[in-house]
Amino acid sequence: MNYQQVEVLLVEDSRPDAEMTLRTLKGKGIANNVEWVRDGVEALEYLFREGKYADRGNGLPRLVLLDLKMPRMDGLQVLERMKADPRTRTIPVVMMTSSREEGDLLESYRRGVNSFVVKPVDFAEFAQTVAQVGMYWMIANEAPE
Amino acid sequence: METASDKLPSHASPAAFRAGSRRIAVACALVAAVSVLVLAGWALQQETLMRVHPSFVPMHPVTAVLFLLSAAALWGLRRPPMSVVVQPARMVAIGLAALVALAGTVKLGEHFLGLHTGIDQWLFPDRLGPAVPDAMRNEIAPNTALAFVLAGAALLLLDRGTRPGRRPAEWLAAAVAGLATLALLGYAYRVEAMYRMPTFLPMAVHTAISFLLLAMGILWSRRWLGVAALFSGGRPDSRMARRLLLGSIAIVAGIGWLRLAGERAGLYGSELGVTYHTAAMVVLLALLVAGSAWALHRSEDERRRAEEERARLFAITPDLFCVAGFDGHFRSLNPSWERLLGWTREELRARPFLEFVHPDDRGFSIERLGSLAQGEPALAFENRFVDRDGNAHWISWNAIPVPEEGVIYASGRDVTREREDARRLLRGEEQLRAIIDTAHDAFVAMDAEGKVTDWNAQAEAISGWKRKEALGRPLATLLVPPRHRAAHAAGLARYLATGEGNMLNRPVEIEALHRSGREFPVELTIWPIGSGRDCTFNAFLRDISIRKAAERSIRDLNAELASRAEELRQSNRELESFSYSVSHDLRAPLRHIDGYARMLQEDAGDALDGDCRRYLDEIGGAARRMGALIDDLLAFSRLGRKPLERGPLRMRALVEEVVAESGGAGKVQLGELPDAHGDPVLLRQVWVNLVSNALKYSAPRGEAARIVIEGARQDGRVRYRVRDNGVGFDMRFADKLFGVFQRLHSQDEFEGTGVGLAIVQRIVLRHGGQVHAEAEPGQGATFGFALPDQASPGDGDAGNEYAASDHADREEAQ
Repeated sequence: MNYQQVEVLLVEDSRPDAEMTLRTLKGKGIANNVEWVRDGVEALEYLFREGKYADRGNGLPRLVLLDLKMPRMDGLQVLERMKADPRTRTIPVVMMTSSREEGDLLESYRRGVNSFVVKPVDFAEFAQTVAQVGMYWMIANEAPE
Repeated sequence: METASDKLPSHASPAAFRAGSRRIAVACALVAAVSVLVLAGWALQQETLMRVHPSFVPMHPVTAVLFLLSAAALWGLRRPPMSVVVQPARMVAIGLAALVALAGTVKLGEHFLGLHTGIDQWLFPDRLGPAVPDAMRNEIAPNTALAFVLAGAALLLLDRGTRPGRRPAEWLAAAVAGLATLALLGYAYRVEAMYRMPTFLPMAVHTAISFLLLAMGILWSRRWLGVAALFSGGRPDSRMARRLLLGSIAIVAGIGWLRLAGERAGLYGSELGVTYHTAAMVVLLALLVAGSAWALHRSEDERRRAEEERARLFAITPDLFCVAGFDGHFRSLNPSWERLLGWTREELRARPFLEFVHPDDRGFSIERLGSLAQGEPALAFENRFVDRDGNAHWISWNAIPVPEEGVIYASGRDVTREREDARRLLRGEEQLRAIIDTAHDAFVAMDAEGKVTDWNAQAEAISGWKRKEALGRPLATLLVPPRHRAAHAAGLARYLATGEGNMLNRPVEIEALHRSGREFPVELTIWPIGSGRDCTFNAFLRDISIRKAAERSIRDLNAELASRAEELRQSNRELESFSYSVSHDLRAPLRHIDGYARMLQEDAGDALDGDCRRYLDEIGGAARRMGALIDDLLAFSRLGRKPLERGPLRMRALVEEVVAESGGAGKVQLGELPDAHGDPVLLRQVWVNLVSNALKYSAPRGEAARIVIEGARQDGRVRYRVRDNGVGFDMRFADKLFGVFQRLHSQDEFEGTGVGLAIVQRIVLRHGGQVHAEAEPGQGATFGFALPDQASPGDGDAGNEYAASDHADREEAQ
């Protein structure tokens, strides 16, 4: 495992999406240390150091990129758990989804999401979006602490 | 000459006759008894019987016999003759009376003409000799003989009158009574000449009494006639006459006796006696007169009071009282005539009363007057009288005629209102009958026993029972299915006991029984009238078989519709989740295709030749187009689910904004754009699509491209159109324009997904409007839409349309 401070936690069941996101984040030099987990359960295990992440080092990511639709536990549930726990409440969460469904958007904001991004089909746009999100939350935004 | 029977007064009733006869019988019996006793005294030589007191003269035996005859004659004539045929008893009585008169006359002849017939010497002649020497012979005294003549004549003339009210018999009888009184006064005043032998006028005391009785009997026997009538009966004048007569006789006789007694006792002399006598007479007669006047006064008061009472009653009664003469004029009327007819009583009396009778009623009124004149009373006879204002009043009359007075007494009552009420009631009943008979519903009625009392034609039709068959039969057996009969009986009993019923006064749906045994549904409304045993139950029944069947089929249809709707909702939900999946699951692979193609190009672009790079571009382009298609498709499907949010629209401002955003402002010319009413977001989308289409398809014209946007109010609609001078299209394919994914141009000519116009149409249709398009290839195209005009007179309808479509929108959105 990484001994460096994890900067971004990417929760994404789709390998290609994950690959494209990682490539963009790293390629643009926004975040070098990105942890990628495959679903909501793993995400929570990572965040709360449970299961296979029980003995990972201390520290929480500065940003969580969260896919909405995932097997086992979806993004909304993860979001809810994070915002309910004081340890993870202040971590910015960006919901990334293929859907434009208003219901999802409203529900996400109701549960305290910090941003809601629709993944464009166009890779150029996609890359640009991911870069903007990363830049904003990682660099421009002032986090508490 | 009048006869007694001509003028029997009202009190000459059989009972009065019997009472009168009893007194006559007593008089006759007393007279006869005295006579018999006297004769017995002569026969047995009993002085007391013959003369009462030794110093008095005895009654002559022939006198006694004549008294017997007189008594018998009076008895025989005690009643007036009732028929023309003279009865034997009456003949005998008349004979006896004649005999008495004759005997008296003969004896008078002896006295005054010196004849000697010895008429009074044939009975006990040996004992008639003078009891003492020098005394006169005992014979019938002249006054006694005269009295017999008068009494006999009175009996003979008992039923004869000279002129009306003049009856010799009563004067003769009065004379007899006077002679008797004279003799009795002689005894009372001890005038010896009058009762002692051998004076000229001795009359035995019992002879005098007998004459008095006989005279009274004669007067009494015809007491309702002549002067006797003045003294008999219960009228106040008769009572006073009796009182004055008897009182004055008693006073005069009594005072005379007292004066004599006083003088004989030497209390005063003759002059003083006359003084006392006169003074006492004055005082006592004055008292008698005062008493009589007082009594008269009282009776007059009473009469007046009674008269006033009657007058007041006649004045206040609403009934009409009148006395009318056979001459056709009113004699008297009570005040209610004036109140009813408005004529004064003087006016009513002044004209023949038939003139006040309604002209149509005069004929039968005259007929009825004719039978009244015949003595026939009229009861409940009705005719109309006309008042001063010309209104007719129905009067019901009770009238009795009094032919001897030539008048009719009548009492009438105004029955106009009763007649009108009765007519109205009758009319109401007729109307009700007609309504019931022609009613479209069956009408049945039953009494408190549950028996049918009415059954109209419609009841016959729905039940199969004829009216004749149904009347009187228990309703339950005709119309109530057996399983409901117990409840029917219980309901009836409950209403009779408590006045309540849960089936009453409201429509109830229930099964009824047809004659054939078939049951059919009816709507039944029962309303009871009255209570207890007098009540009736009325009911309307309507056969609702058809309605029930219709309701059933509507219910079935509804259920089917509901299940269809549920199916639709289900498939809608499926569709939604499908579109959701599409948006998620179809877009992801496209993104990946494009992503990897790009990554390949980035990482290995330099190693690939031109064609290979173009292939990668094509892969990416295809993926992106498919992404656009999916996005448009989703947008289109979302349109159907979002409810409209209508509001007033500043159309010109909206279009200016859209044109500015489109980047083609230089080519667009705006005409008049009236305001409209609709969802601003959706209509903005319409304009965006139309303007971008116009720009797109006129782009080949380059700088010459021209787009005109304008609108107008017309026929209750607001119409807008976007005209371009672009490539246009062939009208043969116009019907495809507004379909989803329908395109008239290739992707190479013009980019697009074929959803834009479909969205336009869908939005406009949801607003209750229409879209249209026209074009010619190479000449440009015109796309337009029309919205309902909120400001137009057809406002309400359009509003309803909106509401309906709005509602449908929400349904769809759920």
